[in-house]
Amino acid sequence: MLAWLASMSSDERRPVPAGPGDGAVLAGEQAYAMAGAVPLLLDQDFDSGTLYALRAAAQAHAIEAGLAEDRTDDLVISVHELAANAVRHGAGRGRLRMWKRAGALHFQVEDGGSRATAGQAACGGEEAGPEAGRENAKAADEGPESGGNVADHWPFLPGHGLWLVRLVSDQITVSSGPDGTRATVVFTLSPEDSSASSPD
Amino acid sequence: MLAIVSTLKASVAAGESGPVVMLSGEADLASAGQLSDLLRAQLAGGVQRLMVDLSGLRFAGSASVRALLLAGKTLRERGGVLILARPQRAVARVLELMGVDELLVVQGGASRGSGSEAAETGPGPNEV
Repeated sequence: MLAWLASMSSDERRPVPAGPGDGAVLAGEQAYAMAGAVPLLLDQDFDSGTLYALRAAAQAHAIEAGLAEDRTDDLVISVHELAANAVRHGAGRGRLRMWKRAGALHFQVEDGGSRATAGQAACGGEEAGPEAGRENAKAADEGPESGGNVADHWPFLPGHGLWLVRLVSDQITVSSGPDGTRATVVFTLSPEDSSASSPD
Repeated sequence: MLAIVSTLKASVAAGESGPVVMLSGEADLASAGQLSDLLRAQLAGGVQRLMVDLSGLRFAGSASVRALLLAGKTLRERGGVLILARPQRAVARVLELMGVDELLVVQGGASRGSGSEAAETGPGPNEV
């Protein structure tokens, strides 16, 4: 456990606006722009009281899209953790969009952004442990330039939301801007998944 | 403030070797505080062994799992143990991802894949 703790902490401090994914990954906005050509499977607002409905909707659409059962569990976990992040560290609410494109299921979680300002976003409430404290101090040190650091908005802590999503998804891209933080996640559909387009 | 809808149901029964907390529904952000309070109240009595029956729980987010981990830590520090019993598949997955099985005792319940195997540490899904 301590090994991943160490490996994570270097990542979360790296001021890369495109997030924890590798450089080849599309930024959230690009990914969504490309998705403009395909219909959205799901477009749903949420807040802390409606996460259960969000999970149910995401699960239903993932199964309908042909994602395997185990992978659907992972997708639901991912949707939940990112939405929970948006609730906790964003404006207290957010929006989920999901679409299918190029043999993969994509979804995007946006927070409302109003609380995602430097200095405040790193105060993780119940989340705030030593790690969060360091993030906060770091944000204060770096001043306005730290605004591009995803970790300032949604903490990338072991065992927490973003960290879990990175474990189970095929790709995650996180970007932060004046409008808030946006995570785009990809679950590839295996050939077997795609052919089994109806639930058994 | 936002309306909080709790989808978690919890009850406590007296087991042979300590209290048994039965959870059902879904444990997420809205109920993580409720779960923490419940576990803390159980631990306040100085119990050494607390069982949490997860068989009715359909979903658990990381915030709720951290509440369980925290309770487990408190028990461990006093030489006790927290046992998580019979998690459903989706809950077992979160426990696995968060490495909970390294820190707490997980008994029975679903495992990933074929679903025919019980969790390694458990006596099996048929055990009640």
